[in-house]
Amino acid sequence: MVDYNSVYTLEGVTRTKITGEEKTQLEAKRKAVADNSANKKLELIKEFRLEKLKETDWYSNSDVTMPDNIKNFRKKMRDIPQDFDSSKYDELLNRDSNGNLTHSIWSKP
Amino acid sequence: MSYIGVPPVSGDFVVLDAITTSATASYTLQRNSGNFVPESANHMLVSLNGSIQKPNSSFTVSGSTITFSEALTSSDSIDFILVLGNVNAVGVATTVSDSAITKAKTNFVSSGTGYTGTGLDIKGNGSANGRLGLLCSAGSHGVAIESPDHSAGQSYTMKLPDNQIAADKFLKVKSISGSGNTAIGQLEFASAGGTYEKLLSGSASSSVNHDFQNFMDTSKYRMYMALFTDVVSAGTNERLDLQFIADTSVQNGSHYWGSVLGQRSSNTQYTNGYESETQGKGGIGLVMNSANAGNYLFNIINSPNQQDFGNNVFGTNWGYNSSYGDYAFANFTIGYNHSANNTGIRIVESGNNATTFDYEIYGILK
Repeated sequence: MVDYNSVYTLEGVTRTKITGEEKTQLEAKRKAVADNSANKKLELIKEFRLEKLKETDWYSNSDVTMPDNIKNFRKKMRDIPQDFDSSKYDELLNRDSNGNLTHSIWSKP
Repeated sequence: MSYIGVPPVSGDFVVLDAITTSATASYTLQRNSGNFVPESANHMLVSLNGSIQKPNSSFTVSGSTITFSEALTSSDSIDFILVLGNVNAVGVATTVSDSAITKAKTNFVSSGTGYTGTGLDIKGNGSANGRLGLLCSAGSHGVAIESPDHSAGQSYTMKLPDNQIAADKFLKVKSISGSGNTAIGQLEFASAGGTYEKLLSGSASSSVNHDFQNFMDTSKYRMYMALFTDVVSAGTNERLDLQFIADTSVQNGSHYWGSVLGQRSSNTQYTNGYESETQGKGGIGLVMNSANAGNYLFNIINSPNQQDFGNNVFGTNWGYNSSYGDYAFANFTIGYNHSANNTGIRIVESGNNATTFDYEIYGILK
């Protein structure tokens, strides 16, 4: 893959190929990003999980009895990291054409 | 007795070479040994044997040949032949044929400075201002340069720009000499005035690092506005990040602190705070593909006299994020906790993927 740098000055624009040590460093940065991909996905999953938990937090009020299906739903949310390894993250993050998460675990009872 | 009437101050008055008579009526007229063609016989004073001869009666002229009404002899004497030239041709303009005076015949020499030393004046007529017309090639249309009204009392001089002409530039008074209504202004082709001065703009070709160098001038600009639109990345749900550049050296130390606060279309907030990172984060990640390009606005302050966070950014980005399935925007701040004489910025995608975009960078004048 050929990569370029562009330099813009008041005098004009120059574009040069990235080679040598700079190319090596770029590939290393990209590898680090790729290696961290699973962590970033897990962060997103936890973010979505937190949103779902917040939606059902009101069941925890002292004057409300939390139904069992909500208890189960919240437990499944908390157990996502142990129930799904990184090979399942893309399934968990998949969305339909309307931008909705498609995995059944996100379906609130 | 002095001359009676208006003296013919203009004209070509020539005494021709002397002619030696012989037994013939015709002689060649010469001036300085070269044949001479008078305008007509009426333009000539010919004295023969002490008597002035009547034109077209006592003599006629054809080309450079004068012919007397009868043959002379060697004992006759042509005392002189004075040719008056075409005395009216220049002295009385009404007799000059239209278009008769060509540019080669003019010589308008200026002297001194200001309007009083001009080589050519286009005068008003007492009611209309002086105007210089410039006609189209057919002469059927034209434009004019007109003097200010008399009541304005202006006698300034505009010196045309002393720098190279270029597209998108405006005429600006660069400097003046003198003062008041007789000042002399030196013009230049300058960038548009006002608060915002466009410094860089164009469409960026696909590149990993986009280095905008040496556009910062703290003597002229308070801050800079960098706008990146139609941003397309080879990555997905990444964002454009910023690093400062000092001269050509990218400032990639752990000097960037910042915070991001955004809102997603699912009515959910997005936040991200960080300290001591190697680049400033330009908001929320965006899908940034051809169908859903990203947009970024960086407002950049470069205050080299400040030590900590003297260089900082406030900005906004907006677009679609496919991880969230949301359209989103985020405001962000980037503080550069370091002292450097920064002169430019590097724009790099957070995943180090190649990006393309349209860019415009403005300097906001002090």
